[in-house]
Amino acid sequence: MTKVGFYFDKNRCIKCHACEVACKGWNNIEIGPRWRTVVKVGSGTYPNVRNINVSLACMHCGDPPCSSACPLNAITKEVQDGRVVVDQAKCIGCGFCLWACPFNAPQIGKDGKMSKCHFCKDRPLGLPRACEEICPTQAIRSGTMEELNELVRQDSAKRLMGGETEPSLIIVK
Amino acid sequence: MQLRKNYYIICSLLLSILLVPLSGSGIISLKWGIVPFFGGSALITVSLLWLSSFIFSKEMNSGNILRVFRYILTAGLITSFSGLLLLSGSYIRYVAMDRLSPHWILFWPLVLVACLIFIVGMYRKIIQGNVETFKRWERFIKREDREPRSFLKNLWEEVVLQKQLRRESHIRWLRHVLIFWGFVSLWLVDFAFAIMTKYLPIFGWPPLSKDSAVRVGFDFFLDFFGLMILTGTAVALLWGLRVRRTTQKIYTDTPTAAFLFIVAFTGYLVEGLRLAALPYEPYMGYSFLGNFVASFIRGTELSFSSIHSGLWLFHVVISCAFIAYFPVKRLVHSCATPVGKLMQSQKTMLDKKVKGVVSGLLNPEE
Repeated sequence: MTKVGFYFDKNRCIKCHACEVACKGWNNIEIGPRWRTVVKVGSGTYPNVRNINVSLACMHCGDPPCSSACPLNAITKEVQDGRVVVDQAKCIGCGFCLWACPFNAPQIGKDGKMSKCHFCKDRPLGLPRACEEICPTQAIRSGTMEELNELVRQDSAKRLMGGETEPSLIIVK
Repeated sequence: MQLRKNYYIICSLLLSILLVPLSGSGIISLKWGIVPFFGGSALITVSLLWLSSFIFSKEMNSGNILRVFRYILTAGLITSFSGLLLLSGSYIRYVAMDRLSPHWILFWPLVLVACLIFIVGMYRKIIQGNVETFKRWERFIKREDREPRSFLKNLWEEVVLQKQLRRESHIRWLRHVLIFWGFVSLWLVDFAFAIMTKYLPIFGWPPLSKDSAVRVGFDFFLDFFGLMILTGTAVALLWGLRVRRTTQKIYTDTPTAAFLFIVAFTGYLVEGLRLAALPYEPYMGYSFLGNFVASFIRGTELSFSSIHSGLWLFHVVISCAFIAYFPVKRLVHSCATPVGKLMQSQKTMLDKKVKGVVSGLLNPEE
């Protein structure tokens, strides 16, 4: 199974939030839900304290906890490319997936249905995702995990060890 | 886990083998079926309310709250399950003694099976998954971050008034409120009606006369809330027909609406048949819907005993089937979505969860 994911270089992120805006624009998302969010995380202990900005969206985890939490199995992992997708016809908007997700990726819209990053399913693989395309510093990259692992090898980055949910995310340390 | 599941199954079978013959033979009287059934139901309600102490108090640690919840829930389930078994045995005995019509023999066994499926299904779909989620993020969720005001605000605005749905679509809101509040109110009034008219008199309480203010009040509200359900399901079915070829169809659930419409409709047919078999008296006017149905039947050749029993049993079977259907398909949202809305009110906890997760992943040594 081809597995798609994201590569994020936190040293390049300037917290401009352009990725959030591009995602909303491309996917025509209403006011409120944010499929991609830039969060600020504090790190270190005094006096060596620093803030790190991380752009988060659905990480299309290898073992998605949102899928296990969904009472109606509305969330599934595509066999073809590993994207985690939601069937809105089945979704009841309970929001259990939001609590289960380590990254708060699922968003409940005004219509009571859950929506989230679907890896710009309308863009063929090989083309950049909306967030990647807009990012002025190329902090976000996307592609198959094989392509992203190649970037890791080239940039000497360390893969984010996602623990139990296996997020498809490589983050440069 | 498997050992615990087997333990529950074995205990349930032993209880069944023991209690049904005890009440069926008259050794344990009907009273001792009623008390545990209603007492157990009260304990189950208390256990669910107990969970909210996680939000409203910081006295007990979270693990203990969950532990106490499990104890109260288990006690409630065993007590009400035992009550249902005793009631089944008692009703079998009453039918054998000709004190009740034969169709009553199936009533409590059907209720028992339906309640079991409902409780097990709801536990697996709502509680089990969320307990695992809670355990996974326990280290990031602090009780100091709880937001009781947001919890109450969401309870009032999203669970009771369903404001977000009203903002989104008036027609969806209308049918939803009619069905939801009609069903909840009907269930509560019916519960109170059964206690006051059927079960309290067994303990010596003076029975309510048919034309007393309390009794006619019950008659009126039972029909009123049932009419809400009929109207809501009719609106749902018509709207579902209208949007079946549009993108709006993801907001419909025609099978459930049709199912509930049939349950409510047969209920009023049964009531109409019952009233039509009796000479008309003014108090019957308060059961306005049943009386309306009875007005077409009274004086005709429709026989009370031949049709009423069959239709009554059909209504009981499909009502119990509806209860059992709750956790199976989208109707699980009636319990899951209110719980989810209340969980979503805790925004600080959600925010700290994601920051804790990301921070931990970036700095695993910290």
